[in-house]
Amino acid sequence: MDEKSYIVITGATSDMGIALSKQLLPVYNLILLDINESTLVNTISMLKNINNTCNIMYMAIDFNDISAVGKTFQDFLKKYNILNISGLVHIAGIAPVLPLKSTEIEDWYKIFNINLLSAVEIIKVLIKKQYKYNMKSVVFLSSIYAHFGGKAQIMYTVSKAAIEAFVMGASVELAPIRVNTIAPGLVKTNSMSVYGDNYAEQFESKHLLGGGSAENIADILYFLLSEKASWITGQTYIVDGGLSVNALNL
Amino acid sequence: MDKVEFLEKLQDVLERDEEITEDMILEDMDEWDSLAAMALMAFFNKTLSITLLPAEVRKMKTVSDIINKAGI
Ligand SMILES: NC(=O)c1ccc[n+]([C@@H]2O[C@H](COP(=O)([O-])OP(=O)(O)OC[C@H]3O[C@@H](n4cnc5c(N)ncnc54)[C@H](O)[C@@H]3O)[C@@H](O)[C@H]2O)c1
Repeated sequence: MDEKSYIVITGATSDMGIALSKQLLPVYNLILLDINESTLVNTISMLKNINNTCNIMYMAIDFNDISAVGKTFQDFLKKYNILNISGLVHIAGIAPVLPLKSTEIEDWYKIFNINLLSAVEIIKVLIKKQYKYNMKSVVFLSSIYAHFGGKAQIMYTVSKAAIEAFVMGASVELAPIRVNTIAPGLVKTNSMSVYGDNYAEQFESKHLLGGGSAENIADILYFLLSEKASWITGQTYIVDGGLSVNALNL
Repeated sequence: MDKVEFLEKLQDVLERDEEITEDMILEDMDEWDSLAAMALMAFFNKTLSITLLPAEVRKMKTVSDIINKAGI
């Protein structure tokens, strides 16, 4: 019998999702969630090439279709008879660049659906009685933008601050399940290439240790999932290569 | 959308009281700042389904550059 527990990863095909999966492969089974089926399939075949001993399940799902997320996820677990899930890492997120005046209410619903509420719906499944005794740790992706304002980033700032508040509240309700979040500074991932100009360079130069990598993020996510973090809950870890402590140096 | 309509919309996006004309230099408008540039990108994206990159916006010098990019 397979004794490895499952970790659920959302945004699994992002650079961070892949870096984390690589670290988890030897120790856990994986359930990968993301919006695009073919990208998921490619990611899994790449992971299987590295390590073929773990079970990797996947489900393509659009988190903006929020009213379906809980049921779709629960049906998936039932269909494959998966009970032993010990962790969730919510990496999925969007960061639309919109000044307040250009935002429409649908934009706000969408960012909340993807950045926070999808994970809320998944957690509500994982704390049902058939799953909750195996659950140990939930980790969210916040951002340094939850702590500082940025131009045209207002929806992102609010959604990530909501994550940090949720983590605090949920850790109290869900103990002994641990709930934590990390707030990264600039992580050099695929998604940053849309800025493709000196914005990223200028922003990076404010980080004392330079911009971070997906592997840097995977390291702390792995730690927070693991038993090494067994006495940590309800916390936000700023992981920003010294960006925030350098704020006064212009 | 014709040019007149587009210029009206642009006036809205940039929150400018006076009319906008094709030959206007962006740098000379008080309303043209980094937030306005992001509002312009959002407008292109939502209304015209055109993805405008920050680097492209920076290259724009006049209102007619914006019109050209919009394909109007
Ligand atoms: N890159 C950074 O500098 C940085 C900094 C701080 C925090 N973060 C956070 O880290 C996470 C990953 O960021 P990234 O830069 O790798 O971005 P990314 O765009 O590469 O990854 C986001 C992931 O979310 C998934 N996703 C988007 N919309 C979805 C939807 N509707 N349904 C389901 N999945 C959806 C995407 O498919 C993708 O896998 C995000 O939560 C982001 O806010 C990133």
